Amino acid sequence: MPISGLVITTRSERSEEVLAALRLLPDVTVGAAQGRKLPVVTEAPTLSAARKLTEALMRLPGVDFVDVVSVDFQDEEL
Amino acid sequence: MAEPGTSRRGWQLAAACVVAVAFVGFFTGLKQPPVVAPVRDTGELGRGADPTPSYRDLRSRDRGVLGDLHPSQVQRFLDAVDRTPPKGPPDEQSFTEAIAAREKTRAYWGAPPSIPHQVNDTRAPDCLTCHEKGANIAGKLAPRMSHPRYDSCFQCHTLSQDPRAGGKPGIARENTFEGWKSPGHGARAWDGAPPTMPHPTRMRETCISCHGPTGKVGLRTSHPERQNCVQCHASSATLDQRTSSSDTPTGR
Amino acid sequence: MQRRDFIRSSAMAAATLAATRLAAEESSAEAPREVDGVRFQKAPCRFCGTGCHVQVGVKGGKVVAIQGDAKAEVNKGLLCMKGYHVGLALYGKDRLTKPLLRKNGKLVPISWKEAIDTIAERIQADPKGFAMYGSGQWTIPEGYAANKLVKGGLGSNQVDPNARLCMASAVTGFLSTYGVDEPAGCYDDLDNCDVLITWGNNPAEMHPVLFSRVMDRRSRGERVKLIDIGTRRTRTTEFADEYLEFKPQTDLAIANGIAQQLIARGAWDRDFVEKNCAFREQDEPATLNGKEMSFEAYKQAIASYTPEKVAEISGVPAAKIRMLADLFADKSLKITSLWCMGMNQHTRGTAINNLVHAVHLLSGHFGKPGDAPTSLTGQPSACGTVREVGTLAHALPGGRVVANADHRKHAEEIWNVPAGRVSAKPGYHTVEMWKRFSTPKDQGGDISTIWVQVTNPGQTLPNLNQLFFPSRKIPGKFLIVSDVYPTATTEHADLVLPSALWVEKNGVFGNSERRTQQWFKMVKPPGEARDDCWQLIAVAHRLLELGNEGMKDRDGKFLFHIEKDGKEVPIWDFAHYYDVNVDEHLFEEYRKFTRLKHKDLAPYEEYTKARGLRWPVVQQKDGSWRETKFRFASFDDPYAEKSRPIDFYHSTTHDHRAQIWFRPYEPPPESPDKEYPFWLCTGRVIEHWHTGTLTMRIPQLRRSMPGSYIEMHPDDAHELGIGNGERVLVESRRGKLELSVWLNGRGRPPRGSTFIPFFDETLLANLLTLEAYDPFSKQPDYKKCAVRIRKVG
Repeated sequence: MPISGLVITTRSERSEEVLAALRLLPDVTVGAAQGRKLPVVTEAPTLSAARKLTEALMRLPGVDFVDVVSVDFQDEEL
Repeated sequence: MAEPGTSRRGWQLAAACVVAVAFVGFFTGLKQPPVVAPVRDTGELGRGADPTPSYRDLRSRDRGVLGDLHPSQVQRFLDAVDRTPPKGPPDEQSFTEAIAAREKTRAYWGAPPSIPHQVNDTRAPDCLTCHEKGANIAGKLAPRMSHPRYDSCFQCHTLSQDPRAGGKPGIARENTFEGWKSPGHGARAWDGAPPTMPHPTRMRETCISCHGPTGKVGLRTSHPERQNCVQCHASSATLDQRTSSSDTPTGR
Repeated sequence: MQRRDFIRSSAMAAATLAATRLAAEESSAEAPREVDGVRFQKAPCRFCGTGCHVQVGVKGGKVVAIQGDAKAEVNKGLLCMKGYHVGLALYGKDRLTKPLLRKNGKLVPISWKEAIDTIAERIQADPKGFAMYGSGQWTIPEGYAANKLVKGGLGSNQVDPNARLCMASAVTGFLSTYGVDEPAGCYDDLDNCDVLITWGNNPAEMHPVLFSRVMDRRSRGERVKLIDIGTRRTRTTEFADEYLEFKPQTDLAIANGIAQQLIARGAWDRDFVEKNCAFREQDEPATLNGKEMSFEAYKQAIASYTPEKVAEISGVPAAKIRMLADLFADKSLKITSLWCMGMNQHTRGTAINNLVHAVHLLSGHFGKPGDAPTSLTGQPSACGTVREVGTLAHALPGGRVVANADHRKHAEEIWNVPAGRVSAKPGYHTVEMWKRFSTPKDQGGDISTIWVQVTNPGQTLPNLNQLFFPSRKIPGKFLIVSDVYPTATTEHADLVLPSALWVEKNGVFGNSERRTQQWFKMVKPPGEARDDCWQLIAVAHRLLELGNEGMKDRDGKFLFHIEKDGKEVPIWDFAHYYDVNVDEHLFEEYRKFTRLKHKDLAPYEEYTKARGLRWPVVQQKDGSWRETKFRFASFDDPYAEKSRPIDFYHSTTHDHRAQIWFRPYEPPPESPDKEYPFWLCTGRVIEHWHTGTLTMRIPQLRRSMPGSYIEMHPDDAHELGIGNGERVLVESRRGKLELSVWLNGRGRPPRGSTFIPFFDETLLANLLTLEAYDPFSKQPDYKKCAVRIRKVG
């Protein structure tokens, strides 16, 4: 069960829209926004699902960049 | 409609021509078409396949036929890619060669490459036939595209040969531009540490385009089984235009 | 589970820390990025009107790399082949580096002093006979300075730009429909539309970044329907769901056909029209604003444009006209129309512009994101420098016109020049200006000197044999050209001035979506090449020295007086030109003009930080500056009355209404006949920008399309015994040209039609074209004339 810490950079004027979209995603936990930088934690069943989820976040309207801060996939063996 | 036997033979002949013409298209840079043995296939080829092009079509499509490959032939080229991973990291010479080869088709490091072969200028590009996954066409590697799918290939990629049927070229004037060169290898924090990315990730999101089996030998990874490249190889925020910091991991 | 909670919270802690760090870095002022000794700074691309931002990489005083600017909303990091290679445009080996004067038939190097003196003396000798021929590639400060020099200084209005040949009909279309120029929508419409209609437009080649902005939505699984209405198949057609091929000029019938169906079916948006629109038709004698028309009269007038009749006129099947009407009748769809030269370079250009606006207004497909009629421009600052700064023969900055006494007074006040300085008499529009330059003085040719900046009329004027070449043989006519390379115009010039190009100078452009974009000088121009704006100011100052009173303001100061620390900066001396930011001074002065028509610009400083801002840019209570995406829509436009969803606050009838025009189809001035049986259309290709002065010097682009050609239908070629690649002689009533035929080439014209790109200076397409122009916009029609073709040897 890989858990990743990401920073999403939003277009400032679309931050609300991005937040609303993220809240609809069950596998994404949103932290406290720092300006247009949004820390989030994602959980996914497999590594490839984690990557797909990250890519999906990049494509969200209003998202400029997604930076991967940490990926933990130790649980994968479990 | 001819009887099945005739039609089958006709199809094989036509398929052979398609391939032959395709090769001619690919090697037009050499001007002399290489001799290509006709492809014979004893399998159930043609079942459910698209109708073959007529001879007339083939004649009129004497340029840029890469995209005219019969769908059933495409898989051969995709399968022809040798996916055996290299035994170790590439040597310095092949790395230098790979960088030099890249420079030939680019105005500067980071410019979109020009298309080194002829293409069919009349149609929306069929570039993805080969470049979506990468292919091996008679020993020449068609690299897999390094960026997500965009639909308008000719928006960025220039042709390297006159596409017109004839006509004089306009006045050719010299240009003294000297483009940015690749800084070479990524920096390592210490000996044995995974190198950082010496290039932007923008338009190079698909690492295996260059570092996988359809990439140039000197750029291929020694560990293609590890799928998540960014796990160990850090990208550069500066190159990726995320920050304005001059602190960059790029270095020789 | 506990372990996962721990991992999750430590992941969040790490992400939050990273976010905080990144946010802190971002809030500090943007310093240039530096990578591997290459310094990157933002600039808008030098080429088309899309207005992409690039990151220009400079090392050792030279541009060495270009990146798409990831922070730019227009292009989101992507460019086209011209944009990626724009840096190479500076480094053609034959850059002009010295002023050149024609002596005994040869251009010989002279000093800048002699050059500036020569121009000033010519002007001083015959100020009324002097005209500036400018450009949609002028930066905003350059165009503003030229306008001020001629209109505020010389007191004549002889300034007209090449944009007259490019988007004048779009201007008259907007003015007569909404009472104010420039699109209401913006590129955001492209992200939201369900249907995109290209009217005689090939954005896949001409505005590639905008085109892929729409088409790439398909790769993301979105449905976007593309309807290509054109006179020849192009790369855009390859992406189209529907291709409607019409006979040249009959786009008017097609638009009328849609309107007829909307009315006949009762499918027009009654609520929208009743609240926001009125009907309009041509008056006698014809004026741009026409006369009022009742709905009943409109209904009656449009009634004859049944799908069957439209099919007969246009060649587009009646079912396809009904299909278009179905789309416009469907209020759940968002429809964006795009057009560029196909509708503008048209002897009925104003009319077809009116009609496309009419179809959108009548159906209510207006003012919501994705619902917009949007014209595109071909030049990077056709909007900014020509339409907004008003570098047209009848205009003053900020949407003002010389014919209006109040407008002249505003200009005189802002320029601080004596009352009465600005003349009420419009100057000559482009075709007229060049016609008079090519006519001897005693036969009415009262223009004796033309100073051309940043454009290439020797290649782009229509019917060159009438408008350009004759002047070169008439004594007393003097042609001055400021450019960066030898061109088809400098070749015939009497005086050539070497100019700085793009990031060799400071600049400001305004793109197609009302976005004003600034950049700083990054590298030095080669040799003695100097800024166009400096050239204008230096001539103005020389005129002042020669005693020209027009170069003084009311207080006796120089027209381009700039002070620093209480002392005048001698900006006319190039050594001191960059002691101050002249661009900023001119821009701040120009900004005062922008309020009248609600085209408010922010202070210069704001543009140094942004990747452009779309006007009106209005200051908020917290001091920040807010741009406007959707004009006239009260949810976004601060000037729209909040009580109305849509407010046309510059209505020509002063009642908040836009005009739905009735414009009948009329045949073109020249059609194919027995003698000249083929249509000729001219245009561009993706590789080359306009006359190829820059792009033909970029090896990657030249290799990709090294020369001109003529496209024709294979069956026509077959009948004439012409094979692919064979040479033909193309003749019109005005000139002839020998080229090679390309069958099934880049574009594919229908039977009876041909196409020639105009970028090749060795094969001048405009030897053939017709100089007939639209009665309102005075924009010539480069898209249709009659030619004959015969095989040569």
